[in-house]
Amino acid sequence: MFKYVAMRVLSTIPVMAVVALFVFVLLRLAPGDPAAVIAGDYATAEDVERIRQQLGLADSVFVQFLRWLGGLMQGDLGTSIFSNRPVTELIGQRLEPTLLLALTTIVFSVAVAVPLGTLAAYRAGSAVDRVVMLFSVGGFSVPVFVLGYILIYTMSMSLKILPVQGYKSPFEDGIGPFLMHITLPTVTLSVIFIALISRMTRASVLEVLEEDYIRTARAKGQSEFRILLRHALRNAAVPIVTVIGIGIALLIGGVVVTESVYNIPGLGRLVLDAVLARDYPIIQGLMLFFSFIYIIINLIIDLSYTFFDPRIRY
Amino acid sequence: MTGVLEIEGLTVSLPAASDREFAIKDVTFNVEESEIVCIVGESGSGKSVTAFSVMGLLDRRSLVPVAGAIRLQDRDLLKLGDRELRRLRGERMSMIFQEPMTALNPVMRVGEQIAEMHEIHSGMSKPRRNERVLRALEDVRLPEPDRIFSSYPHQLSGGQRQRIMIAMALLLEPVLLIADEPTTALDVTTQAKILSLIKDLQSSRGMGVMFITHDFGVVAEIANRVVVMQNGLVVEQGPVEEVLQSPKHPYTRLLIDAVPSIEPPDKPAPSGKVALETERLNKVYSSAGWVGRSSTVKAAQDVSLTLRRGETLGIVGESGSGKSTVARCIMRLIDPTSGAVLIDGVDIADMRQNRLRHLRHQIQIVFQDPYRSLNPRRSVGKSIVEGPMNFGVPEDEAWRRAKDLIEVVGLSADSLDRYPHQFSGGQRQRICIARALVMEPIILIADEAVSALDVSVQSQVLDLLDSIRRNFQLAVLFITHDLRVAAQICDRIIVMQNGRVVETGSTSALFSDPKAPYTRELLAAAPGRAWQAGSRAEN
Amino acid sequence: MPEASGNAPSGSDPTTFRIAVANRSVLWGGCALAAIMVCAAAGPFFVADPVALNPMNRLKPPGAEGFFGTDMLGRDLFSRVLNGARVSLTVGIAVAALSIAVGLVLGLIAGYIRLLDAVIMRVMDGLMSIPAILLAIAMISLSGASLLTVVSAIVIPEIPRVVRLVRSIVLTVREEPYVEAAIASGTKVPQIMYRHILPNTIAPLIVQATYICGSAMLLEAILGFLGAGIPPEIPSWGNIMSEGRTYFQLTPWIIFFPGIALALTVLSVNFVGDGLRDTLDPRIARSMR
Repeated sequence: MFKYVAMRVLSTIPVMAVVALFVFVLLRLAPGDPAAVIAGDYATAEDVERIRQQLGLADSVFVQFLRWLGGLMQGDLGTSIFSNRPVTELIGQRLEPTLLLALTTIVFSVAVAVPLGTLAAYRAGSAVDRVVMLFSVGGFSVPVFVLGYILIYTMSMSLKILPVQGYKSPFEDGIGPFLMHITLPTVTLSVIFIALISRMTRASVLEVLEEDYIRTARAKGQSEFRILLRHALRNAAVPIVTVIGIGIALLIGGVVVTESVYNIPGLGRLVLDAVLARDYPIIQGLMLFFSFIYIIINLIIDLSYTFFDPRIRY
Repeated sequence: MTGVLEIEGLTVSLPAASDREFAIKDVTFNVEESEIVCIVGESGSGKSVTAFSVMGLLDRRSLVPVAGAIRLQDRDLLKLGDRELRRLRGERMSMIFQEPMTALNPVMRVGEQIAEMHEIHSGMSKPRRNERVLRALEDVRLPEPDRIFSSYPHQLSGGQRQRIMIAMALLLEPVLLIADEPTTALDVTTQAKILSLIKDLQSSRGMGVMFITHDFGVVAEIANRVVVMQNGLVVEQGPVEEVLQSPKHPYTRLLIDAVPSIEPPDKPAPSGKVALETERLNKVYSSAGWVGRSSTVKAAQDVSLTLRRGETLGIVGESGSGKSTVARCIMRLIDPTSGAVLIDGVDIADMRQNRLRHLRHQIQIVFQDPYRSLNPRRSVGKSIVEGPMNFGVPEDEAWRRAKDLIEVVGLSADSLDRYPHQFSGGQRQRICIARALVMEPIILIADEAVSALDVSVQSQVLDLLDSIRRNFQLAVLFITHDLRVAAQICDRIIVMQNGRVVETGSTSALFSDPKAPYTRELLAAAPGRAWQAGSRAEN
Repeated sequence: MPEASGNAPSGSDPTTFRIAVANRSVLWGGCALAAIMVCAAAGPFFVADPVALNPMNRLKPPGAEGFFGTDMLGRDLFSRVLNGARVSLTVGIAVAALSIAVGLVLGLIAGYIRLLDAVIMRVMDGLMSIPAILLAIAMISLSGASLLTVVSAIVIPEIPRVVRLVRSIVLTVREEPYVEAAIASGTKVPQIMYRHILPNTIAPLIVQATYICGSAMLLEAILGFLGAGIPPEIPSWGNIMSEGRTYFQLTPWIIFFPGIALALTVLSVNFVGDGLRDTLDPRIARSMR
């Protein structure tokens, strides 16, 4: 068991290395002169040269790579061109809202999607099933920000139930204002996540319901509700948990957009500001940061399989 | 005797688009207290539908009982509501299934799964419940009940899991046990033990058992009465001796005659040229992690065999014996770890694939599963001519050969333009045999090639294999778990256990005077031995 | 011996039903998609110039000046939305075609050549862990915004999913007895791939292509919306909505019209995908999404 965990943790190293290498190569292989592109149309030659220095593009590629890797090892994700502050520090400042939005979204989505998907699977082919599946296809089709604006338009501008935009910290402003402000972004971001999870839950439960042990449970005289709860759902868990992990990538993308719609000062806004300011080191640093988060979450999910399925032994 | 189960005029309809109107029609029979009634039939006979109707487990969207009555101790099950039926299931009637591997919930401890019976049907407290479960585990003769109780299904063998199923089914002492092919997926030695367990428990508890099977050997072993079904109809029923000794319906006779005898016929000693030899063939699977220990499985150990032209050599063994591993090593579908494979004197054991490809026509294989052995997207003809054309045979010549051979295996020439899904399992095996023969091999490997077929089809395919062996002077390596089949078709037999050869000998010698204890155990476990020995003596 | 009919109590009825529904969703989605494509191809010839400025008619509501009203520079919104459809469809189709082509080749190699498998799959794992939006933003901010950059920025994160799908099919199919029989009759590796393995990937890949097409259109719009997409000279649904943000409280329709157009387009693509998936092979359903 311990050996497996150690092995699994070690095996994330090559993946992280691939990410790091890819991000490094991306900047070096960009067609044209990235320094000039980043500097923008009105930059002077000195500006371009200064940015080239800051991006570390002046030395030989090999030296660049070693220096860059050395920095990464020490947790150095680069330095912002404009504010001249370490990217890690900028990330630290903006972490809280993003983390909380992601958490509320995951909790809300799982709470809605798993029962919905299970119901759809149990009543496969019925009206309930078709409504759930229709919702799921719809969730995959409506862009996050359009949904956000529709919600702002109806809930905030027309009905005036919830605040339009902004963010309140639960630690500084209290839980009430936090919830008021986080509700719309959570719902917005959850739609696609619910679509994803309910679809996988349906497929997974549907498959499990065909299994022989479900028939055994029926032959015992067990009630349908308990069959779903005790026998079907636990066996269907692994694919559902897996899709939640893969969905983290989707969630990260969605966070960027949602934060921009609701004017939340989180990591998504950091990305957006960096795009506007052409501050490439921030984008690069965030790319690495989010990838590593994704890898670590999926590592944890991988290790959690033993909890759901005793057949998976290490 | 009092009636436990009475089925009267039971008819279950099939959905509109099916090839027949009813899954079962006008089925009438009963099961008395303290008796075992065997329902016998081949695929599609409706025997399982009958069983599921009793339990109320039919898929209601497609299979609906439209007429008749099913009375369990005088209560008509078809007239009961869901809740009432649910209460009877498990408490008054129970069922065990064919696949012990999948019938138990893999993520729940088996003890809890058995205890669930009490949880559903009685308000018993948890400690008393567990105590009952432990006693039930002892009743089905499982060792170390405490350990078994807290095991997960995957930690148990197939036979142990079937015992768990039996313990669970009998926990509440039902009056009726339905057993749907409960030993079909098990090895013969395990099958013999499970059969005797069911029989013992049945007689000590006095319950009625409805036992579904396709195997007349099993019928002879345990049945009191027999119901024979064909295409959804009951064609014959009666006491076991009567049906086995003097079957009235032609279909029953056909089924009984199709069961291969366990007495091998006399065969001349083979004298052909040696076609295939293996010398100390080994296959070791190792899963080596780069951290920690590596584990190795010795799938085949020091297997040496000789096969002559015109001879059928059987490799007999239970699951995990390594018999298929040997076949796949000889075919070089997997690479042997060590040892030699000599085909016509040439060692191919570690020949490079691109050299080996030129020798591939000499040795061909027919697999077990007729449904996966042919590419569903290619016509039968295209699948057959692929091989010869790989070896440079011109296209029209290849098709001419394919036409000849498809007729040799007993299909019409226009079969070549059709697709695999248009054929039955037995026909597909014939096509696979044609595909092998078109290569003009000297060696043919049949890897459980008749195991997935119904008995009546099985005997026809066996006859075909035997006749082509004679006509083409083939060396046939016949891999099977079925001693009866081996007795009939093989000249010599190798018995394997846990990757090792335990005995080799001519078929007649091996059956009349088995040397290795394992061979003796296998022979003793073959169901219905006494019956066939008896009937042979009479003839 | 397993009994073929009626052993497991599951009949053909629900399956037939599902195929009927599936076909209907292919039909509806296909028709809607065809209509959108016709509009995108022919529409721009019949409407006003999408980039013609008209400062006198700024932010007019729908109906007054043109169907959808005008934007903050007085440009005709209807015309801009019609023209934007071209960008979305081009991006969707190009991304689907490219990522399937590259993914298929890599997947076949990974599935058949042990040595390269580990390398390819580690690279794919790495690519998959980089959030698509960030990767696209990074590529665009390095090479400047153009249709080509946007397409390639969306293709790269889609490739791993195709590779994984193809590889898993290859690994399953190569164990099939009919493939082993082909090996046993001396068929060469390229022919085994082409005759016996490749055909099994077609149906899943068609389905996957529709999903990729849909998600690529969404991603393109998101990039445009964030100001990192197609340059504003070419009207795309994303950049129309991006420009509409500032005035949202005043003129929400500038976001809603292109938003609805986008949602309907992606919805019809997804309908086609779901329908095809259920019709072509229900078994592949689980390996996707």
